[in-house]
Amino acid sequence: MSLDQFRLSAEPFYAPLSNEIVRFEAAYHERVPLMLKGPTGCGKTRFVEHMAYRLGQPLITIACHEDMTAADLVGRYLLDSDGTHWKDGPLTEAVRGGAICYLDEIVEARQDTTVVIHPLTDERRVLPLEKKNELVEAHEAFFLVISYNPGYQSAVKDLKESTKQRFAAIDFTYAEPEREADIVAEEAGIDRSLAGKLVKIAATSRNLSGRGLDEGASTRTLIRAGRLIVRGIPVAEACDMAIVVPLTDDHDLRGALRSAVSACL
Amino acid sequence: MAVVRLPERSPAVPAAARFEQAVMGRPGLAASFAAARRRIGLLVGHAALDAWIAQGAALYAANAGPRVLTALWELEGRLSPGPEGGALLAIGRAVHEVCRHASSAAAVAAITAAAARTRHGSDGGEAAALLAVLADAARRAPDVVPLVAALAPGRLAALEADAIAGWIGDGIGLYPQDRRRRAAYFELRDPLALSRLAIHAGASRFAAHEPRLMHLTRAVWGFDLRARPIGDGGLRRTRLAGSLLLVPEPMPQVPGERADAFFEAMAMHGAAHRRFTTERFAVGKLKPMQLALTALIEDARVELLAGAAYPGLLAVWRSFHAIPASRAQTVESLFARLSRALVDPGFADGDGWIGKGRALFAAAFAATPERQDIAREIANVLGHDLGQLRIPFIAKSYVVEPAYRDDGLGLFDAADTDPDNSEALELLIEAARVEQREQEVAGDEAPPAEEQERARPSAVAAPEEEEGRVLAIYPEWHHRLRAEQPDHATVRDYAPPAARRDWLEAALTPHAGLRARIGALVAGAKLDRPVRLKRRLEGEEIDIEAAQEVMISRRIGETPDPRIHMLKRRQRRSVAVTLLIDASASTGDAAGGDGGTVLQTACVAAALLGEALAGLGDPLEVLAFSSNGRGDVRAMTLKAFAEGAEALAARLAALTPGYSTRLGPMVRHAAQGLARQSTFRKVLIVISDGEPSDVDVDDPGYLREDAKHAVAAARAAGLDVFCVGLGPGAEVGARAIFGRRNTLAVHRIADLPQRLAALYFRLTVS
Ligand SMILES: Nc1ncnc2c1ncn2[C@@H]1O[C@H](COP(=O)(O)OP(=O)(O)OP(=O)(O)O)[C@@H](O)[C@H]1O
Ligand SMILES: [Mg+2]
Repeated sequence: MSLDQFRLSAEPFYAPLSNEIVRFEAAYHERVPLMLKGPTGCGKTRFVEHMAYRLGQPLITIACHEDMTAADLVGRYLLDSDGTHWKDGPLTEAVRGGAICYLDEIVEARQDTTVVIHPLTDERRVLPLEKKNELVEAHEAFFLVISYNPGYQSAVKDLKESTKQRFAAIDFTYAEPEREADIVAEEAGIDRSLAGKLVKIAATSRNLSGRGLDEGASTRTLIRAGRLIVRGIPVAEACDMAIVVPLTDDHDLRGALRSAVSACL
Repeated sequence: MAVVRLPERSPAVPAAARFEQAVMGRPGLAASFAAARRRIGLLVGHAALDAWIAQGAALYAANAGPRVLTALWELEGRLSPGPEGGALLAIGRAVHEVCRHASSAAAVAAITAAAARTRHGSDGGEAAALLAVLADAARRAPDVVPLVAALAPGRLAALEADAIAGWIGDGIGLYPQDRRRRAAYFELRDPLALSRLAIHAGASRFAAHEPRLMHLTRAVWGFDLRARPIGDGGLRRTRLAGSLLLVPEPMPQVPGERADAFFEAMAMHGAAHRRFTTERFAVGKLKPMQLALTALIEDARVELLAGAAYPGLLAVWRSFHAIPASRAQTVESLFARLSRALVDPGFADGDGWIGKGRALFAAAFAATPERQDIAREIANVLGHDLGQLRIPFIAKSYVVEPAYRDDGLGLFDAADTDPDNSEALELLIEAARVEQREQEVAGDEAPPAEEQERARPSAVAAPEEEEGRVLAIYPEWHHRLRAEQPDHATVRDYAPPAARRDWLEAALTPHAGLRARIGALVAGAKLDRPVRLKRRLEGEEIDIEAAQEVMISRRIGETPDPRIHMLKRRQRRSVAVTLLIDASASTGDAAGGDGGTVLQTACVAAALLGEALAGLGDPLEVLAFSSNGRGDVRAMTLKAFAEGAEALAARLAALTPGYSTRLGPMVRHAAQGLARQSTFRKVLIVISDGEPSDVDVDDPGYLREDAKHAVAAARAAGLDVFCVGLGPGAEVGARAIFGRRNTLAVHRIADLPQRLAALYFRLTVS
């Protein structure tokens, strides 16, 4: 089975924050599973894409969600005209074929789902397919990366200690202002000084995280705002659309954020 | 008798013609009618003029009396209505209504009030709006009109007609029958009248803007806004007191339609000082004028520094500098213009003194913007020049402009004053005293952030003797006003008394059977029961039955049902509970049965439930409450969410009945704590023996409706709210508040422990 469809054809732009590239490479070569920690929209996904390209490996990304079952990861029997047949899930595909598998927002999945990755993360590097009664040995190139946002989930929803400790971790935050402005300018196609203002707006909203907001505006929202501006939406309006309104429904918070936006412009 | 010749056409309608003749024949009326008619005839079209004359005729026919007519015509004669005569005719209609429902005297008062807010040559819109409000009042409660009219030029002068209408509506709504109390309201003898007035004046209250500005300050500056309203009228501007901002309440000179921006400008100005005025200025020999100038220049310095990081703030501040360039040589004008000149490069003012100040400041700020002393140095020079010009400065009457800025006194260190400098000392000592008082009251620490959500943690004066610490101040709903009264009831924290728990231990023993039954319920509830969801399009297992059916369908040539998967789910318990126990005096009554009081029975029930829940691991909070007027809603935490259940029994045992039952604020308080729990379900159970009551309320509907409101709000916030009504009397009252389906009536109080536990498990085990 070929995983060529999962290879990236062009290099995804990524501006490193510090030495995360070196660290990723080291972990990759040792096949130490990696956990990327950090707030939403700070570039984790982009980083993995970039690394997959760099290492010349296919990348299979799985966005985890509450209703995801173990079968969604490993596969299930399907029924067709001749009876039943087995269909590998995306995780199994990565394990068999040798790909980087990126489980995005792993906490969103229920704990009985997440345990299926355990045997892949220790020395065994195997994936048991209980239903099929098969033990899949991981391809030599298989590499597991998960992302984890420690910010917003409540105590109820957290990774099991036994899961956490199977990974090495790289901490992500938003890039420091100059760098973040570069990223926003590049990705949205706006000029550097406007990007700087958007970054400043984000900083004001990040001051409110945990004090009314769960999280402040992410790099992603800034890029979105920038793109709307390129489309001809006035700056304040674009910020309203891409930053203020998505962040909160609270009247006072919105008022404060709007004032903060105009203070920065 | 002089016959006045009327201009232009004569009215088409005979009645109107007769009216004009009659009026012109009466010396007292003729002149004012003729004058108004002449002016109005020039301004409005024929149709409007006819309508206006017809109105006059109708009023005349209704015996409005000469005083009404002359007052009306005098007012109308001032106006410049448009050709349609819109406001002009509205005025006539409203006056007619007032005459009809109230009296001629009331109409005269109303016209006089309207005239007071009408400039010569205006279109009459404001007068018409006020008169329409008074006409409406006349229809509903005629006695109110002269009272409101008397207040209109004074206390109500700053209010828009809409706000006045709201305030009148409140008064009539509060006292629909009782004319004596209604009169007290409209003569402002009723304290409620004043508080309603303040609320309708609305926008000028800082409190309405505070939550937004808290967030904004945190967002832009990274620190918490600390502000205290000062209500005694001692302040005309805000004052800085360390990191605290003292805000006059109500704030004078708030431009109604720009209130949001105004308070933002005010809070951001204070924050800019906090960030950039790093130390207080020494006073030394500075005279009041130099103090004022130093503060003025420092204001500009901090605003420009803030503007360098946040250009939008400068735009907000500048928008409040409205003073035009002029040649006036008074301190008021010069200072206001200098203030503007320093922050607004587009402002052109030819005055030499202002030009000099501008140049000095620009040079110094360009060189060392962070150097605070530039303010003092430039103030010295400018103050000296002003002295040479012999322009007097009167410290007592000087007010900083624009109104969003602080009064500047908080920028100085009174201790650093030259002892001979009595003028400055006088000014600063008083300021220092206010500052010290407020800081002590506010406490040194800013309140913890979570508590600031809805309830404003109050910084009310130090508690007298044994009054509990203030936990929060909540609004209450006034059912007659159909409005919330902000910051109305104070919930205070009382420690549960220490006492021996013997009686409770003893009381629990006979309930051994019940304990066992509850234990079984717990065991059942504890299991995370797996649930199989069959016949799914997707799932982790094949539903064999369904699969077989598919095979069969195939064989016999039917279309098979594709839903052949099965899902396995575990249902996890996620419930938090708050138990709110009424401990008012009435719960001291005997419960019947085995002899304890109502409260004791409630405590037994709570203790049993507490035990059970500790076994289950459901987060539980147990609160007891009573009240002694709205200033003292007494909350006792018998078990906090974060605590274990060990101390619960002892605290329950020590509970004694007393005081009244102000249910609403306590429901708000409990709901707020419960809402912060992160469980999927949140259940609030109130155990009470009767209707709410309190010493300072004589309207029985008030507390009930307020409680109803509090319950509805809690439900809207996602809580399940139930009431266990104890004793035969409780049922009706509880149902009115909690709703029939959410009230469990326990007639035989001895049954309570069992019923409560049963209720809990029915509610939470699905
Ligand atoms: N360091 C970076 N270099 C280049 N682009 C970046 C960088 N950081 C963020 N971005 C931009 O921000 C966007 C959002 O980043 P990304 O989707 O990787 O976030 P994420 O951390 O994976 O978020 P989530 O947790 O929500 O999945 C990217 O599409 C990219 O445009
Ligand atoms: Mg100031």
